[in-house]
Amino acid sequence: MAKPILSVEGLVKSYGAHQVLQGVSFQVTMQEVLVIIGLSGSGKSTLLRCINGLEDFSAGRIVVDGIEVDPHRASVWAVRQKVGMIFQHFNLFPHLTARQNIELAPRRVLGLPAAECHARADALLARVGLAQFADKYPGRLSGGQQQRVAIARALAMQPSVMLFDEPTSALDPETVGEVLNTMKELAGSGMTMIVVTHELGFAREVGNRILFMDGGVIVEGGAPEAILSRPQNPRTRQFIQAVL
Amino acid sequence: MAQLAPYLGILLKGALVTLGLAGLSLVFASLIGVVVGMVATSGFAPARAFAKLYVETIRSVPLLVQLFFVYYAVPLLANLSPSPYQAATLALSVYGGAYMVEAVRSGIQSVGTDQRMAARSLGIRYRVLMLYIVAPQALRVTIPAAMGIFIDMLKGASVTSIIGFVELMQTAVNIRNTIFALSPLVAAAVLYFGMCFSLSRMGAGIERVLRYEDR
Repeated sequence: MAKPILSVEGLVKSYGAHQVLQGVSFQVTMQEVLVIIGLSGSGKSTLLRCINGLEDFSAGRIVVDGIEVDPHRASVWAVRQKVGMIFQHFNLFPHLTARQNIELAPRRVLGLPAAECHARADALLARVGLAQFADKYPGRLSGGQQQRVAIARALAMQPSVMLFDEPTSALDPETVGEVLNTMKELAGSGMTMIVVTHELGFAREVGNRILFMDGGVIVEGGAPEAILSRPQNPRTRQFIQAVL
Repeated sequence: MAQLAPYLGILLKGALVTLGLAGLSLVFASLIGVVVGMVATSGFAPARAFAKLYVETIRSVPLLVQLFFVYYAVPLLANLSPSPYQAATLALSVYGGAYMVEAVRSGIQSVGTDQRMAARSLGIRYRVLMLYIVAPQALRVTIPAAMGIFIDMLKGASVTSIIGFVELMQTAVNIRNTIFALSPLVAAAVLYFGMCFSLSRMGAGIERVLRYEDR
């Protein structure tokens, strides 16, 4: 097996008495597309937020590209620069145009020259098929377009891993496809991705591996075809039947 | 009204003094608002408690009482003797500042955790977050509120006549005591209205400019 770029070992996270993650372990190798499925409240989103240090965890260990994730240490900022995150509700900055949304972090975090940031933003907008929307504010874009801008914004920091937290759940059905296509293109380009989604078609077509989570643990994991067509665990079976 | 004509010049001058006092106090109040407003939204609980204490105390005591305190009590306590102008500026700044803190706080809090989380995931730290993400959006909430506070301070400045500071109100009273007519007070009211109404219109204009949803 190739060298993992990300490893999660025995991750535990609790809110008071409630344990959201009860010992989650897995690894992701370079260029892998890992799809995580499971019911709401199974801890998928919390898991993603722990990976780039947006949330504290109670026990366990996460290592990204050789850096241990610890929200209380300054090194967490290095992790965040290596890990891009896509949110369910896009979370664009509403006072900035699409291009400005993309330019901000390269310009103010990496300190790159304005012209370079501008060019990088335009190239990324073209890549996600939104070149003509560069000067539009998020409020003027559809959900699918906003999510593609958000993907371009994360890519502008040239991350080694991209996390997707239900990227299409808040979208109108007719714009889901354009976002999934953008993600598929990204996977094809060799990006390492962890995708939390209910889009099982995407999981089957683009994913290299699927993990099914329930009650804060990984119940079952394996190749998409195996998990989706021949789930071994009754809970996985029940979930897949409900979603399909 | 004819009696008033020779005094219109000094009335206008009084209006300018009022505007100057309120304006300078607004500058100080804004500084207080930004600094304490950031403290009030910080993660450090004792600092937040201090900010709350300041805001609640000042907002619960009449400006007149605060003015007396600054002009009569501070000299005794601190062995200073502020001029009426200095005392008026200080009292009005501290008074307006408490309201400014609230305006700044609600501005900062108008930027949701969604955006803060997105910023953090991009590696954006506090300084850049505040400067390029929070401030531009917070201003949209804070500036219209600040215009309202400025209007309140401008009207509140009339209270400073009581410690002997000669601004628009005191000027009007002085003229009235000379010509024994109500017209100076009517003229003062018109001047107050003119200033406050213009500021209010200006605030509405700024609010329109700051909107970005329609762009």
